[in-house]
Amino acid sequence: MRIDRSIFAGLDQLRVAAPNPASGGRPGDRRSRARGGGVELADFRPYTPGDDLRLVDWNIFARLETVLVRLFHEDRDLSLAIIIDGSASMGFGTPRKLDHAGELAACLAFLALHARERVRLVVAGRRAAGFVKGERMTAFPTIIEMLERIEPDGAADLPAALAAEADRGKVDHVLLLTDLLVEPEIRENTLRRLAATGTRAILLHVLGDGELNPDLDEGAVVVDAETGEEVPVRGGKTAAKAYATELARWRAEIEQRCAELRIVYAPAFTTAPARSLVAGDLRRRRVTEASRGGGR
Amino acid sequence: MSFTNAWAFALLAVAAPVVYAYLFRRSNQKVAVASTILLRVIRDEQPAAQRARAKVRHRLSLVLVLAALLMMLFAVIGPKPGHGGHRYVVVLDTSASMAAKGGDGDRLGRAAAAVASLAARLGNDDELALVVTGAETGVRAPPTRTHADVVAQARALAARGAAGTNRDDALAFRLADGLCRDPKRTTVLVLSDGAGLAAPPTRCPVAHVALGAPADNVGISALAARSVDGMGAYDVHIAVASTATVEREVEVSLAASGSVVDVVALKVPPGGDAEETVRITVARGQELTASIGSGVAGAAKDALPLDDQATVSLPDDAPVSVLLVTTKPKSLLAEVLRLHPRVRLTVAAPSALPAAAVHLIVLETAPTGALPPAARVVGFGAVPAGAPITLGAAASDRGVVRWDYEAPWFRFVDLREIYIASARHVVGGRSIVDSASGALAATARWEDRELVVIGFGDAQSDLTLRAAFPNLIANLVDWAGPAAEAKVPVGVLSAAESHVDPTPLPGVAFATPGRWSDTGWLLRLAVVLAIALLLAEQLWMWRAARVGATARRTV
Repeated sequence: MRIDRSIFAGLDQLRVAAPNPASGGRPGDRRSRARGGGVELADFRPYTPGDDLRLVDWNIFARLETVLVRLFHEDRDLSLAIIIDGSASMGFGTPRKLDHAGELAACLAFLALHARERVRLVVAGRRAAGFVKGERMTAFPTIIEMLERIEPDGAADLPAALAAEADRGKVDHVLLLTDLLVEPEIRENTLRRLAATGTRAILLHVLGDGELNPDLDEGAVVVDAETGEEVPVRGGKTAAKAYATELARWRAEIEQRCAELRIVYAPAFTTAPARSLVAGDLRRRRVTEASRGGGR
Repeated sequence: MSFTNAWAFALLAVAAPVVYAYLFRRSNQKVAVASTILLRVIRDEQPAAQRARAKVRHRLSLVLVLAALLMMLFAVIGPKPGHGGHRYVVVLDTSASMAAKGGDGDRLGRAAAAVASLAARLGNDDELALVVTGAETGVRAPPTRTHADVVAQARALAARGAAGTNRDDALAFRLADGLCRDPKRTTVLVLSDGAGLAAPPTRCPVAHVALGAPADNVGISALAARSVDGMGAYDVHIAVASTATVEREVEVSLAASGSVVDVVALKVPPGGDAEETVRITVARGQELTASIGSGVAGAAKDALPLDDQATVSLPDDAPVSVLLVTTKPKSLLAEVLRLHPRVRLTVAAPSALPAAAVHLIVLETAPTGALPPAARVVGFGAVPAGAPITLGAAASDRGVVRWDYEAPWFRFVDLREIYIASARHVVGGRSIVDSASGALAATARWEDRELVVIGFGDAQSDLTLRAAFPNLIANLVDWAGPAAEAKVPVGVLSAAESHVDPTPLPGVAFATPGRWSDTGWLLRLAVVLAIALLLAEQLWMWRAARVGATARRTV
């Protein structure tokens, strides 16, 4: 695939939203739970010998004759892990779901790298497995190059990929871009792993026209691209209606489970361009936010 | 058109499952999808059941396939001229001349092919009948709409080969005319080379399909044999005819029991005959075969092999029982009769005649009793009582002035200048030997016998000293012997059959197979249209599948 570089224009106004305190070990622009050097007053504590006298709040001493030192919020950097499902099912649709997911991942990586935040990009798939990380915009071309190179193939073991990502260390945000077209037990396992991988787990549910609006005018024998299962299916209006009901039920089930596991569920259908998703729906769902004046 | 054709019903029956398949056709198209997880809810639990496709392309495809079936139906059953059917009575000449070869096979084979060609052009309502003439004459196949049967009969006749003559051709035409249902809807079609065939007037129109081309033929036109002396000597008469335009030198081999007994060389003039009689000596009762040698000088390819060999049965000399009635203790007649190899002689006195039947009774002395049964009786100066021939007065003039030399008794018997010392005229019967004063021998029918009476005895003339005497006795024995079964020589063809030049039948219209209505082009067009419709349907479906595949990536 070829990612259109023009989609990144104007994205520097956005950044990855971080409603939770950052846990990065390096200074950054995100509020963290740590107390230390900073500019925003966080709290007071009694003076302990050895504290920096410049931190003593002399106004309080004058009023309360108590020596208290000021504590400030310490800004840390944000770490972001983006995991892309590279299985065969992601190769369907117009545009391809994998291409759409790649564009989304590129946009999110851009946001993070632009804010000098650490990004890890993982592609989970039989042949499409890949890993790249970076923390500056200099890593962005490498990320783009990997995204443009990946091709869907086979079945991706998402739980294993998430587990491996967790082994690399906890991250603030983990984003999983997948169509989640797996058996229920695998889906449950994936969501659990996703919830456990990062402080904030986000599921970008990538679905294409093949799932949203399939051509069910006539019956056929459908063959699963990953498992090879053959299922004879009916065609016609009745079948289309039954399918729509099943689709809605399935999506609602996933969304509810994500809510239960405190995973941010965000639809990322191929019907909307990646850039508009990043700037629109993802912003509304607080996956992204404005980089200036944005909520902390 | 008629739907009674079995293939028509079969094609109509094929249309039903075609329509059913289009309405309830199961799509076997396999489509790759991202996942079947969401599609399991619409699994087709009854794979055999299908919903009718509303898309126009399938309706059009059904129309195209049905149109193709209709075209094939059209090609099978019609069209044929709608005149209610015509009857063709084929008179097939299977006589010997139809075996003449030329080009691709013989004339009879080409006649069978003409029958097949006619049958192929007939409609389902047309009838075909077959009458044969030649070795056998009769209706071989009555009028039928099952044309294949008639064609099979014609081919079987061609395979058997031509033989015989057209002596019963008038009967064949009467039979054909008898099958004439309606002169306006019946045609008698004669398939013949015209050799030896004559077409009498008929009610129905007669058309002649001429077969064969003029050809050179040299063949045996006559073969006959007769016994000379009853001891194995035969005179064989052989004739050879030629239709060649140049003189032919022919060698005819005569063989008995596989051994060549003689070779006769003949020069046959162009378009003429040559004959010769030769004498051979072979064992009695055999078959004599005459064969024209293959190395005929100056010969081109012989058109008709049928007449190149002929066979005739040599007369079988059965024993002849002879009763000699005499009182002479030493009878010359008795001695001569005893010497004859066929004679079984019984000598009896006039008063002691045996009762057993014999073939010949020779009277040297007049019998006093009743003669035993015998078909022939010869009296040498003696007459039985009650016979229609009697002995009259003594002959004053005993010189033979006339005798019936064509009579069977006088073959090779010369009575000129025979000296008759004394004789009596015979009275009654038909005279067979005359002197100037009256009959010296006569023959008559006596009840169930044939009687020959000679007015003088063996001792009253010098006949016994001449060569004529043993010939006379041999002739009498042959005359009296059991008649040999007349066997027609095999292989001898009549002049009409051996002269193989085809001749048009006088007064008969000339016909060619092209006269019959040819609707084959229309049937071929129907088949081509059917194939074109099926190809169009397949192309349409292929294009529709491609467009559908492009429009939808997955289900």
